[in-house]
Amino acid sequence: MGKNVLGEFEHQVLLAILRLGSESYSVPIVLELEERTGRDVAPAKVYIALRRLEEKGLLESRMSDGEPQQGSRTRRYFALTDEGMDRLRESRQTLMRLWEGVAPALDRS
Amino acid sequence: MTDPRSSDPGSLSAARPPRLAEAFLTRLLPAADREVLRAELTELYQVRVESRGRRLADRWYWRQLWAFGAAALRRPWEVEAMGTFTQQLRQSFRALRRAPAFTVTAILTLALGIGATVAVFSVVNGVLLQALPYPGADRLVMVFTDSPPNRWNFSVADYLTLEEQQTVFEDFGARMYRQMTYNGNGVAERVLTAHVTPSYLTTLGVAPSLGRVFTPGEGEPRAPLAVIVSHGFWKTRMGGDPAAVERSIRLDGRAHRVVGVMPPGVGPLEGATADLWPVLQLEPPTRKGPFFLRVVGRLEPGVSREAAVAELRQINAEMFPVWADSYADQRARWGAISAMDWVVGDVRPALLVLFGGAIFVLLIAATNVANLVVSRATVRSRELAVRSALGASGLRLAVFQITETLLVAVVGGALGLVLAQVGVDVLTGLAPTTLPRMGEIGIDPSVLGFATLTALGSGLLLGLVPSFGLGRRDTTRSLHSGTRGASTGGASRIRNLLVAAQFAVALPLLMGAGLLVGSFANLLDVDPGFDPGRIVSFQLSLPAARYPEATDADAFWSRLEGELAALPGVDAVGLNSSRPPSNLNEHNNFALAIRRTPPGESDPGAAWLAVDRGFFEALQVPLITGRLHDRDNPVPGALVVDQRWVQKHVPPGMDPLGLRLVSGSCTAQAEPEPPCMWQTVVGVVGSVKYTGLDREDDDGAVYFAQPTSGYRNLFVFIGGERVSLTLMPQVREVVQRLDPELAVAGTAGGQELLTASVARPRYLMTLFSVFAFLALTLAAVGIYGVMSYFVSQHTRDIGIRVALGGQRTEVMTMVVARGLRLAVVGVAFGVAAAYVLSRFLEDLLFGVSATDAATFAVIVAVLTAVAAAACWLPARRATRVDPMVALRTD
Repeated sequence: MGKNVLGEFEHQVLLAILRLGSESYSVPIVLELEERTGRDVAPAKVYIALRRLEEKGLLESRMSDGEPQQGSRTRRYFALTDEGMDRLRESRQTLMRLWEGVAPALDRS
Repeated sequence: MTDPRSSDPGSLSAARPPRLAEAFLTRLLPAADREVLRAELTELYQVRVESRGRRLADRWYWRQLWAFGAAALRRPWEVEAMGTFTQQLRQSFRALRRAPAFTVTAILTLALGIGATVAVFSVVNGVLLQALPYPGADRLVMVFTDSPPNRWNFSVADYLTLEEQQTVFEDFGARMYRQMTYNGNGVAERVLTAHVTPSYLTTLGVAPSLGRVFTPGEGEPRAPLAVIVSHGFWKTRMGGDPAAVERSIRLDGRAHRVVGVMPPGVGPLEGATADLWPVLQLEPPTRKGPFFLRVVGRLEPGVSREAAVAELRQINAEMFPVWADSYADQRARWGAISAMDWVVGDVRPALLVLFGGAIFVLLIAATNVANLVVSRATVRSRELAVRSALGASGLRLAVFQITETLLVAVVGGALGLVLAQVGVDVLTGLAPTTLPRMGEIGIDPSVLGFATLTALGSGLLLGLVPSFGLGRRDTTRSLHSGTRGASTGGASRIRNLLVAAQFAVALPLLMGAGLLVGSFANLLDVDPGFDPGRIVSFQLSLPAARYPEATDADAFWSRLEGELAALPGVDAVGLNSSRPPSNLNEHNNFALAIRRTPPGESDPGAAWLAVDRGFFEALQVPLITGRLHDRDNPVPGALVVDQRWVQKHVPPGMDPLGLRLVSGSCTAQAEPEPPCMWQTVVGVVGSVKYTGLDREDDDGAVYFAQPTSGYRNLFVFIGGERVSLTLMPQVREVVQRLDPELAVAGTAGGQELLTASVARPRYLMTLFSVFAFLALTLAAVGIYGVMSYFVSQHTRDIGIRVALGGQRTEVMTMVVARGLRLAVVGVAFGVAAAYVLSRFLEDLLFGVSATDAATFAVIVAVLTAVAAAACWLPARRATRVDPMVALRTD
């Protein structure tokens, strides 16, 4: 898979982060994906996807020491980079164009 | 259910993921994100506990192990850091070379364990696992008359009936072992012969490498005699001459035509045990007995042994009435067991026990190496911490660790294989000749496979040990601590556990050895019934061709006895058809006049022996009551019995003298007619062992007078105060002078007879003792190592204690007590294990219970003493700690 191609799962992960906003670390991401797709999602898979997306420059991460009253858990929070946002916008437009006019055909069958 | 995303994580259930899974998982996680990922996985786990319950959450957590494991193997975070396999190997190799003491000790210890196990496995493999060396050997069965506990031979009547009626065998044949006198190159010698029907060879599927098998015609009575010779006989006695086929040789004075030469190593079922295979010709029988044939059958494809047995019983039941007047034992049925079981016989339990012993040695050896590996990992924790800090994950460190132990195990395994080869030579070299299939033992592909598996398995497991022992490595702490590296609590716990385990494993081994030694001692204490120190004996066989009449044989024996008695130092010369303590040639059924056997029941039996008066004199067997056979003019029908016989067959309080009995095939007849006649007990002698020293419940013996029996095959016994084997040259001279065609065979002194009869238990005892000794040594070395390490780690504490005025004896006691605690815990588990395992030994023991309390006590004491001694050395070193030096170290 080339560096610039976005895999389906990576795509889903980006969307989950977009939705979660500032709460984006792996636990909510996994749960969000499970809720939306209705399937179990392996944390290992999410972890790999996050790493890969970061390598591609679509995500950035920061470590945060949890707030003291929450038991001082260290977490890695992810946020979309500008490039990541662009990529999502792009893919949305592409998909919209592709979907244009085919929905009725789908509904009939 | 709360929404975990919005709730405070602190309020979630504090459920912890399964510990073991967490330990594994932690090791698989990439080093850089390990803590974060672990925390996040725990959080996800807790969410799942809330939503789906603990059980499903646990299962989910375990699954993550696979997911991360697979990811770790496939993916990014490791590959760049891992390097290639060769690099890894080179790195491990260098690391091992830097620690020669560890490397050499570990390799040698493993080699020892693997060597012992592989050597015994090759015996187990050769004897128990490999099929018999005949094509389609799994279809071969032994057929016999089953009258538990005995498995009687077939008679000619049985055999011919079987031939006529059976439908379950593709082929079957009969065999009879004997000894014959071979006269070649002007020398007479005894040779072992397997007389076989022509079909016997085709049943086994063996064929001569030279010449041919017997034709069916050669198996007919009165056809010219034919013989097939073994490869060894052909090489040594016939010069390996291809023209030997069709030549004629003289056996027992009769000409036999050689029709074939067997390939090397091929034998008549029990191994290469026959020099010659003369053809067996069966005369039509006039009665059911006598029983002297061993029958081997090859089942038709698809016919089970059970189906065959059913048919055999059917045939037997039908033929029974036909011979009713010569055979009345209705309990006896025909039966069959697989040829493999027949050949291997009672050796199986002993071999398996021995194999178990070897595996225990391997376990202890591996435990020792595990200990070394753990202490090495502890010492190296700083190095590992550096690697970890540089980004190596737990997985990578584990791989590093495993490569290293695998390397050690592979070298150890290779060395072990060399040791095993030596071991196999020793095992087979020492083995008593009665052990089956010894010639088939060797290092074959199965053994190599076993050795490889053992080595790789040990290497893998040993590599995993430190990951368990060290727990999560605290990088920062390891880096900050002293050069020696921190001994974490986990590491010393696992080392203590290993030491205790060694003692737990060593105890059953020592227990086994102790019991076998005790059992062997009991065996040696058994009274054989004769004085072994003053006799020599040998076997002579007179060929029927030249001694056709009973009187010819009797005349020879009496001349021989006369000449031998004249030799210097000889007090008495006697004859017997069997030889004590474990060579019984004839066991016969009989019926007492006072208690006729009811129809359908089995007659009692006893050892049946042709002797003369000289036998009792030469062996100094005491006459208890009555008289012995007359020397020159024995009364026909006069019997001497032994005390055991009286005990077993005569009602208490009845005088055995004057009791009348009939023997063998005459027992079914109401009133014996000649040649069946009543025989009378005229004397009782002391009991002599004929069926082995360990048989306490033998049937007793009946001695009938040799000089009227016409026996041609007898053992000669020479007794005298100073008689020894040095007399044999003169004995041979006498025999030569009387008949140059006779061969003296089976020469043995009394002591040698006893020794040979206990060869098997001695063998088992010796090997097991060697294993136990190895185990004890390894366990001692193990505890010594751990306690030395303990002392070196606590030099400082000990120094402080001594500086504060602690007594040196106190320090000493502390160290020894600490070590002993481990040993005692191990011993306690070992006692329990030995108790459970004891039932495997039960059948191999004589006169001692498998749970003998005294043996247990001694072994526990020995183990504890050895442990104490092994702890004492480091303890003494601890007392010599100079407080000032101790405080300055670190």
